[in-house]
Amino acid sequence: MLKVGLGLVSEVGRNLLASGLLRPHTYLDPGSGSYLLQLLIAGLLGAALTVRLYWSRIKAFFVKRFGKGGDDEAE
Amino acid sequence: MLIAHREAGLDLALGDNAYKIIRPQSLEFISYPYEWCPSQLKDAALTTLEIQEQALAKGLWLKDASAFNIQFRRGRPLLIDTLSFAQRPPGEPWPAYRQFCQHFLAPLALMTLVDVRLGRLVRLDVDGVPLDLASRLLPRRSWLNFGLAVHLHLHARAQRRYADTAVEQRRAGRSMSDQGVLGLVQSLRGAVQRLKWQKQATPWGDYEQQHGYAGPDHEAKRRIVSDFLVASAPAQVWDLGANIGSFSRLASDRGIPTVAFDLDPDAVEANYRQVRERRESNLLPLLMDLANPSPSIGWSNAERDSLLARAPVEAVMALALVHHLCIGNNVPLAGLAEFMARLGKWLIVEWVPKQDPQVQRLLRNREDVFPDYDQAHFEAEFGRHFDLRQQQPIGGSGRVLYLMANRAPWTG
Repeated sequence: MLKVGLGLVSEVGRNLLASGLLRPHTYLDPGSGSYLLQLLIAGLLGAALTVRLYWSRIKAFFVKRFGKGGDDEAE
Repeated sequence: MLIAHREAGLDLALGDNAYKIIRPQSLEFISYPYEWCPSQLKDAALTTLEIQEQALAKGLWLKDASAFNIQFRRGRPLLIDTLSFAQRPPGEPWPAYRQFCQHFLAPLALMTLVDVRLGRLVRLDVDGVPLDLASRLLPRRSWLNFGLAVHLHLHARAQRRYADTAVEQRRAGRSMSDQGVLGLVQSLRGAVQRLKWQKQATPWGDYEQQHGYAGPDHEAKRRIVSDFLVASAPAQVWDLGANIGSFSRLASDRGIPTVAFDLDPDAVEANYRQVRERRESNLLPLLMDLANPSPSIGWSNAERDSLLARAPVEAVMALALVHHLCIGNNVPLAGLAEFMARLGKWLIVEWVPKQDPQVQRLLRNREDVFPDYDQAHFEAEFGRHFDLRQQQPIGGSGRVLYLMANRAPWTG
């Protein structure tokens, strides 16, 4: 899981670097950039979503097992 | 979250390709994003994202994310563009991503991280704040906020980088999974939620005391305004210069839909927070500079109405306002009376004499070039347009409240 996550992060990082997002340009037609940026970051954001989902399940599991007055952690 | 509608007959169709005709519930008042305080813009943004997420669960999405598609009704934001929903083609990125960032995320970030007055930028660009402009204006530390770094800063750079690109070529077969779109929406939500506008000097709760709403004259004024509201029994009220809405609530708590306009973003924010806390359904606080009210803007100057184009309203309240406009902004009494006559049928207006300490404060550092600013001229000028039905002095303050009725036939 972690390996997949790291792989995705580094792939996105490579994409961003290769795309030259940090270079300045002068002409502006904003539609395609908004479109392509989403494709570049989709993997990362999707992975973050999955991690959050699993993390909340893991937390719920432990709170259920060991938590008594677990309101603080369960927040 | 979505405006209610009924199906209407197909006979209303403009062409013969109509499938269904819907008739949405009508709204009492249309407001625009440049008239909202930060929390209103934030609530509108979160509502848009919540609707998008619920739509995604059904295989749909919003094809627009315009802030103008949100209106406040009964104190809560509501999507009014029922036709924004479309089926989501699998693998496609969200077409309204750019619009969401321009209409919501960029102005909210600027208002909360730079200066609340930058909310006005959405009045200049009718399709929201250009992202390269937002990126330039935001402080460097906003790069450390992941959501803002991606959705504003990198987004602006991507727009420039790919400005001249054929998307299909560049795309190289990449697609956007369901998980990816949902992740994008949740990332936007996180970014919006983290943007909180904190008033620097004092906590919100002190606002009322700080602005001197106390004392016997204040009670007397509340009683008279209430009496005038009972006498005129209006169906709607606009309170001009409402501050945090103490007097607006005399109307709205009676069940009268009321719009509370003020120039001060702090006051509008405090007022809106109170609306939310008290779950008030008849009060809409809005930002408005009456010396320069919202103009008609957009294509053909007809997309968004000016304040006057949204008039008339049944009753206008103008309490502790006349001196600000006449002395603070050099508006002649004749001009003010004419303006008020274009706004409403009933007018509850407070006369503030020149010897009043608040007027003296306005005159402290300037020459008194207002020889006609007196009660006789006030009554004469307003008397050209209105019947002066009742007048009541407010305690021993020298101030006087009037209930006036417009002589022009009512067209509301």
